[in-house]
Amino acid sequence: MSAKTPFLERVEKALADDHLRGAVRYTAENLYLKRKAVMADLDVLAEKGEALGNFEELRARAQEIKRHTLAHLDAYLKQAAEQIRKNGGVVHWAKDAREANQIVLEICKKRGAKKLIKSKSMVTEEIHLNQALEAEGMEIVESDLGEYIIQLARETPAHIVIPAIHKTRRQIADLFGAVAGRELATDTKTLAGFARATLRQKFMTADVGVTGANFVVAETGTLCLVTNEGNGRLTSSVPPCQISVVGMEKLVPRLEDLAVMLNLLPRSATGQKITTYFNMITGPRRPGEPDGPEELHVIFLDNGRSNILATQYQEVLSCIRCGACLNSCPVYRQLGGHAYGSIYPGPIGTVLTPLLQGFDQWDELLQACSLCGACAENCPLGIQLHKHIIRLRGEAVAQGREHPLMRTALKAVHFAWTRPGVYKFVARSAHLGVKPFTRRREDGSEYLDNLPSIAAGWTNSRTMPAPARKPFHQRWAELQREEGAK
Amino acid sequence: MTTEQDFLARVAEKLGRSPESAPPPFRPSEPLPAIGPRGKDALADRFQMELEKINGVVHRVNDASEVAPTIVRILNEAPAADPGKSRAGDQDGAGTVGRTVVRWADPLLDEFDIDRALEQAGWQPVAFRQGDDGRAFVARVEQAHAGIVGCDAAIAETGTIVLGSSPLGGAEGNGRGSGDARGNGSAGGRGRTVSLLPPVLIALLRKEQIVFDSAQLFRRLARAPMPSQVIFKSGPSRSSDIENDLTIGVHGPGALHVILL
Repeated sequence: MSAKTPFLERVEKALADDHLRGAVRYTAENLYLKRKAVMADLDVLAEKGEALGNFEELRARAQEIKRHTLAHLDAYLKQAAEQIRKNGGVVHWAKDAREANQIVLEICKKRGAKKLIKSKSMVTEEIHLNQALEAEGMEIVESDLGEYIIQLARETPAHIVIPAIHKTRRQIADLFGAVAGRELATDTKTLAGFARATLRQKFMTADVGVTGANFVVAETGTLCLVTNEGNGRLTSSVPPCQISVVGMEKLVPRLEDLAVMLNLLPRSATGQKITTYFNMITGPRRPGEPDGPEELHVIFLDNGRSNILATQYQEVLSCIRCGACLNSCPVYRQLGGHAYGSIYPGPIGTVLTPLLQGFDQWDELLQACSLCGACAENCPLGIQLHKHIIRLRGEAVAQGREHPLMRTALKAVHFAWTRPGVYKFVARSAHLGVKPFTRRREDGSEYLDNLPSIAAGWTNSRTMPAPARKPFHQRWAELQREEGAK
Repeated sequence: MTTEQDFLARVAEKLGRSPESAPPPFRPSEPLPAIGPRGKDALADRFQMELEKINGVVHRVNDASEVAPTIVRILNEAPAADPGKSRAGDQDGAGTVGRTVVRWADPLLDEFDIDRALEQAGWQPVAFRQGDDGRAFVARVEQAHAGIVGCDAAIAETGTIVLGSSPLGGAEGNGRGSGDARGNGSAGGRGRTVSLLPPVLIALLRKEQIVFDSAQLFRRLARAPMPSQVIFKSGPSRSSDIENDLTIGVHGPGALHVILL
């Protein structure tokens, strides 16, 4: 066997980190159960006529909205851009990460801006905006508490919604203490209070605020931010200039469509009926208003998304980044986000990353899935993630990306399983073939251990029953003969 | 750099569409249903119940004359600001700084004589006046102990108050206290930061402003031009980013008081 691939190295590292695994399992389970409870409540409310629909009904509505929008995306983008300009905003178009970062840099240079503050945004992680700005000598500070922790630790988020899922309060106190230049207590109040005071100072002196957007309403050109802490509001209220980087798939046609999305997103993400803040931004500060940014820039980003349009994967673009698929995924729960290596982990990352960035670095991700389908069941847009994973596996195999031994092994299986005579022979003699690896328990049952090469995964951390000495079809035939004799 | 034309042409081409000027109207196969109770009292009760669930405090008053005294009582009872810890840069002016209260200059608050009551109780009211410097105003807001705002609307289903950077338009009937019907692009004595930077937020809400669900509100917003910012605020600021431990007041106010008239 060749050396371990980077993916397997990351997996091994994650599996060896008991603290990480414990924290991820605890948080994911917690979010999973909260979501489940709030969805059950929703069904009861819908029954009483006190909700716009139960989960299934709202999901169907959300799918209809997104399907329609994506099918006419060029027209809705155009409408949104016209509205944003009408409201006094400036619209930019970026085909890839490089262009998006370049646009941000140019806006900053034109304003003489050096200090930026950012609210939580996955798309700016995707384009590595922080690195691009820091390379030019700018300061960019994350203001979401979790993202701030991650930034100080110089790591990437381990979860879409709860980025610092894997950090202990001790580690957080050390990170904050290094900024404060003094020892900090480890209680949540002290730590959150320190972050509030430190980041407040950053907000008051920032030249530019950077945000993403959860939704953009085409009919009004309104940017929507969904947050709990209030950092999204601060970023879009205090600094004199706001730049929002928006994945081009984030559109909804009408304000009313937000009602459906707002019923689904917080419930799916954190098990809340609604988040503390839902922020709708329609243009910069208007004449006579005391505060708010005097300039508002919106950058619509493609970065591989248009390649997904009009393919069998198109529905993946309806993702609203709630993280419900992560919390329900048995693989994610074992590994956490870092092992995936992509900014988007879990089932959605497994599908989205190779679609956006190609197979070269990411084909192995497709193996990090047991095809159980829990992700699709929990997805508020009903994206059939596990089916897309199978399709992508098929594409990868068609490109000859599977392990060469795997191809040979599966060809052998195909040969045997399509020929009854060969099949019977294999079934009868299989126990002989694996004899060197067969172990016997005290009760007489047998199992396989230490299988070689690509089969090792089956026996490394679990036991696999040994093939029966007398295969089923043989026993069945014998039973039938006995029955007939009676 | 990619131009708008190229960007949209690529999207249209992928979709197999010829570039069109206007998007097709979206009509869902079924319109959203009308839901929830309609009576004012039922809506007020539900609003209160939902807001209390998410750590907000509701003060019911029956008469306009009770509003100002209630505000003073809340301010006197609210825990004193914790200088230097919860707010940046106020270590020096101890004493006066902590006694500042910012409020919207807005018709929603005009009739309650709030300033006089505040001054009598030893609080120093501040509001934005046309022509004031915006940066200086925000700096004062940042130092204030509390912010006082009026609500443009509220959503009973989720205990949500709705705050515009200018009055929302689009009200049906005589939306009392909800601004002019066409929506307003300017005339801002409000300020986004008043409801955001101080550690305590006090919001005045009238019973008749409450609707049951967000869809009703979005339909109203669609009838008039949008203000530059509209906030749905549901309870005080919160985070669970440190070991899943819930903490209140991370960036926004740590206390939310709604005076329900």
